[in-house]
Amino acid sequence: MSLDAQDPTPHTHAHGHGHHHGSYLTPKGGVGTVIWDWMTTIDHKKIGVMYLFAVLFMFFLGGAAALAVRTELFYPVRTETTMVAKISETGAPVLDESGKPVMVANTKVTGQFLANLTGNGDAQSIAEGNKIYNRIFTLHGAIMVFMVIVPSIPASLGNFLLPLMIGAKDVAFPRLNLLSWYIYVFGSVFAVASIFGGGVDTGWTFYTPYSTTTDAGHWRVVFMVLSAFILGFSSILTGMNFVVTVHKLRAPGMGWFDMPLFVWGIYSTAIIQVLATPVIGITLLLLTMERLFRIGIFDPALGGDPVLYQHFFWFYSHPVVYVMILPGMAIINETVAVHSRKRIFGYRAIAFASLGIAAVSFLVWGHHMFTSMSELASTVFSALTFLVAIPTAVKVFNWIATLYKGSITFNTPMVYTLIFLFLFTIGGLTGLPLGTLATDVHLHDSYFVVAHFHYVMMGGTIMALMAGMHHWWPKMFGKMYNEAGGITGALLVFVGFNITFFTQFFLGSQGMPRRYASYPTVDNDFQILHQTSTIGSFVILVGFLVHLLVFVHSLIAGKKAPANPWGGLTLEWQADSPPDEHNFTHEPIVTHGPYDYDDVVPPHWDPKDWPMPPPLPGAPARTTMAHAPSKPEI
Amino acid sequence: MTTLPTSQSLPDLHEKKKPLWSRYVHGHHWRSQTEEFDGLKLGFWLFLTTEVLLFAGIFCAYCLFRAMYPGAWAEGSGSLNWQWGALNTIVLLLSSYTMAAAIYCFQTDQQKRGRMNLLITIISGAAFVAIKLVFEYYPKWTMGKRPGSLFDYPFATDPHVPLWWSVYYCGTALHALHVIIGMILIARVYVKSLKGQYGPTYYTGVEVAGLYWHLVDLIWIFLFPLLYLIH
Amino acid sequence: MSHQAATSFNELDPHGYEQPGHGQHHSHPIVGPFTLRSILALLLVFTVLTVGQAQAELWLTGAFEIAFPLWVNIVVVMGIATVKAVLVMAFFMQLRYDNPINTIIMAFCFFAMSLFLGFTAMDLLTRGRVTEFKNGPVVAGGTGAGVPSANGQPLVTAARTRYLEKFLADPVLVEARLTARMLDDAARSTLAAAPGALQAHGHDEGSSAHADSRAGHDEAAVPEALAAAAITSVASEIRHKLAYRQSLPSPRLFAAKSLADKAASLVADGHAAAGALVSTAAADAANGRLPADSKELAAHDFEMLAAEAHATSGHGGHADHGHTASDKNTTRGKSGLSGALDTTADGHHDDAHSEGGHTSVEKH
Repeated sequence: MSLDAQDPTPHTHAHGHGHHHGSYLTPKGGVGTVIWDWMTTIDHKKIGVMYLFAVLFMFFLGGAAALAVRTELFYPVRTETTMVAKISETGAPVLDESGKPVMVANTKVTGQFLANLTGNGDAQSIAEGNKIYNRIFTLHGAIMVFMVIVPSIPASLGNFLLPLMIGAKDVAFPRLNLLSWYIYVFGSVFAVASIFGGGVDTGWTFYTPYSTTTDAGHWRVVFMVLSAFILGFSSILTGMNFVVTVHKLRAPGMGWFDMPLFVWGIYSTAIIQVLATPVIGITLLLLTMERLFRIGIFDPALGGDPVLYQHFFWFYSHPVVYVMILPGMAIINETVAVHSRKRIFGYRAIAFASLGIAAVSFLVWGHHMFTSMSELASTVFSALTFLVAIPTAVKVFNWIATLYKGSITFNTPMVYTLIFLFLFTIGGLTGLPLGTLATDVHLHDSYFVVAHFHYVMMGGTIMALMAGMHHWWPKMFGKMYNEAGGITGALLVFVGFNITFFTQFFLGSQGMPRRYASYPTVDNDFQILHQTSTIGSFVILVGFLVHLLVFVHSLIAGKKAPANPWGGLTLEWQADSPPDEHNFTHEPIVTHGPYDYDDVVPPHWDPKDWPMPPPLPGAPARTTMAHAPSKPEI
Repeated sequence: MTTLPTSQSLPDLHEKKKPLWSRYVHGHHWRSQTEEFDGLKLGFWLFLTTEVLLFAGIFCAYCLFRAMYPGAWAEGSGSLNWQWGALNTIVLLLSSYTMAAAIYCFQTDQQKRGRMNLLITIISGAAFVAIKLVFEYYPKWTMGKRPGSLFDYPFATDPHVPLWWSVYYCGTALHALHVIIGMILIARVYVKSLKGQYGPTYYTGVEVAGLYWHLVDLIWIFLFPLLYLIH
Repeated sequence: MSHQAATSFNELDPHGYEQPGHGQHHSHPIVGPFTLRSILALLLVFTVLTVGQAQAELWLTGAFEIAFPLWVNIVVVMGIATVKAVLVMAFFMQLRYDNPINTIIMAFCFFAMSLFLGFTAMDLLTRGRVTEFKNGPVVAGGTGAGVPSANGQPLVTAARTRYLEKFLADPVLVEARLTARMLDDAARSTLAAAPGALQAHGHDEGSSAHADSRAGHDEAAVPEALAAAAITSVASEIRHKLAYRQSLPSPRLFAAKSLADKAASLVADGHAAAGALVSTAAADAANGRLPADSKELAAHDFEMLAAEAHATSGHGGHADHGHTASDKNTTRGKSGLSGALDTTADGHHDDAHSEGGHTSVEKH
């Protein structure tokens, strides 16, 4: 560990290797050349960036749907009947024999936002509005789950960072990576086509027998189901790629327990992706067969079992929520260590906890189906669900222990890390009443569930994605961003998020069911809670718009980023910002662990950016890593 | 088990006349060709697990409905002709052998034999699909033994028999689709081998296509007794 | 590339991949033809074994009237399949010679599959243990709701009803059925005209093959017997076509032609008298009067077809025995929870099978 790092490759090698390509973002020619380059690239960095922008675009699309849902719920839908004077064609009131105006009932629908966009506000519009509402929340769910959250961190940040962090030149199968990207695009096209065709109202879970019988004769449902099927392949191929990359392409000297914990998280995610996704493939295939040919295995009218579909569906969909959260946790591992400038607490515990979460995630899917299953199965699944909380809690404790006595800097990544810890803990804790059979009977399919999964998925994964984006933005694009803008956006998102979703816990425990376009208002607080929630959702919108502005400004006019703005010790910070096309100009040598802040001075880091804390009393002097030249000497 | 020759033991030919397989250069992000080969195999085994898990859904539906409706399963299985199933099994086993033999041939630089083995494998696959379509699917379909709501066979006795047919058709059709995909993969390998792409130091493509084909055989090894041999 | 000696540790290449002479070295063993052929032979042997055990079970059930519990079949069959799978994976897919990680991956995969199966089974097979309403289907086979052609019945019943209606109404099918009956009458009357005790061998449709062979064995083959056998075989051909719903556009002409062919072959074989009888029958078939129809006869014909369809559907040559045996297996097979819980289905099932049993016992 006290090895004085010297440039191991002689200059002849650098010369012999040829020209320096410049960063991966450098255009290679005119517009046409650049477009073709990006369309046919097998560079993991470019593919990661394309995924990132696609995911963010889909996030705004799904978010727009969410805002429509919340706007609809601002007012309950009511039919008001008032008696008004009957008016004849001439405009004069019609009078009866005694001279009094004739009163007729005037029915008006109030509180319905969606139908008023398309209909004319009369009584029939309620049904129409409800149909549209169903389509919009399905759209929100399907887009967010399949096109945003599942690929978000692994495919974007994972693709970009994994090879850099282990010192590889690319992922194991670069062309397969490009294929994954195109499959993602292809699948999204199917979804968009389905949406343009009018959308689907089955809910993102496509429960039978409704999904097999609704909208008969139309192709919309089949397209949406096919879209999810195709996106599954993208997920599988990415997972395969990552597992082989981690097994085979680590830099010399980097053993399993020398890897950054981000890699452990992505690796566990990849395992789940490979094992779980094929099951949704066969499920959706059978669903399509059921819908097109009514083969009957999920149809009680033909002797089949609709709960079998639920088993098939949730066998994938539960592990996939861990595909969603594990990469988020992987990011937090990195940001919490770097921005508290402290060795992460319990490296091996976190590494094994990641694998443990991946393993236990396959045992608990029945907790989505407590009300459909036999009592024995419900009991067993409930007990196993409590088990999965253990490795998760280990991680949370370790992060908090990392923060303790660290040298914390309140920049945007750290603020988002703290937000993550707060929101994810709430989300995890509220999973407990849902995993407990007695309480779940009341809370199932209520807003409590909605609040819970938004806390873990959005309060978890999306906040971690924001943390990761702000943490690695300088590396990816070579530009710094406006820190004040980032913090403002983060605080707006945090406040808005809590206003939106904390109220929904109350809504749920008071009995508000999910996926309902309207609600009663007698003897409950539903309306005020819904209105609060809606206001909060618009605050979230403002927060994300601030982020969008900050990022766009950064790309256009941001300060040039140094190679290691935060003083990280993992290998990606040894590459340039943005990295060279081949990642590293020389093969990196690992001579210290990824979190050895006590022992090593981070390479490519400027002390005036982040002052280092003084070394602990009695600790040996820190080793200085000499700068490896980022450009070859000419 | 003998080991393969190193590139040093090749006869010293003129650069241009050296066969394609000996001039293979591994991807630049791998440290060596061995690493690449091992990595590819690892990746492909991961892919095979996804294929197995795809069929897991069918097997799960099969097992559960068999446990719940054993009468329908016995009746349905009884109306399948085990002779065709056994013939198909033998065809696939033989084709598995020829595929493994093809790998051996390329490992020992017997190009012609290797290609012949590949061809036999493809033809066996085609025979499998043909037997299935002509002697199994067509007669059953015309008799009315069809999945789910398409069921139209008047002489069934157990009310859950249409479910049996759904599971049967889904399982065997999905498998036949994989046979066809396997055939396409092997055909691609065959075409490449015509140019001398595969040999003792580079035969990854043949290996990978072989793995896929063996998986297809593996799935049939389980499907056959489960579908045809219940009593 | 480095100044170090070949033997010292090179940080850039710790495994020595880039060393000259080591670079392209493959250490993958070759699986030779002897091994491959032995494994193939083993696989074929196991295939024969697995088919054999199924047939043996059938035979044992039929011959000794034992019924095997359901799990025997599953355990043996899956056991053999597992052995075959392991052979293919270890030798053809070369897992035995590979990095153990590949085997671990496959083992994990099967483990995940078993989790999936096990936990789903834990739910689906324990319904109704505590609360009855979570039990199985109320109407066995479903109500057929939403399937336009099912008319609110389970699909199997609907298919049967549909065909029965067609069977009773469609002129071609009626003609075929009555032609077959007419041929049976003709065969019986021919046989009745024959001297001797050959009539004692009840000629029922299902054992026409036996009748043929028995008739053939007789040295002094009575022409009537041969003729009757030929006519009966044509009748059962027509029934076979009906049972398998093969097309039969003009049954009487088909009957006449088949009989004429059979007559010609009999004459060619030297049985002139028998041939003559058959030709007469052929003429009758073409021009004679079809027997009167009635609902009971039609229903009875339908049941015969059902029996024929079951008998020839794959239980080998053991038509009656096989059918009875499968009755036993299926009713006894409903052991355990699924049997205990599946009361409605069981009841329905017994009805259906008592019909079947009834049919196989009754001789025409």
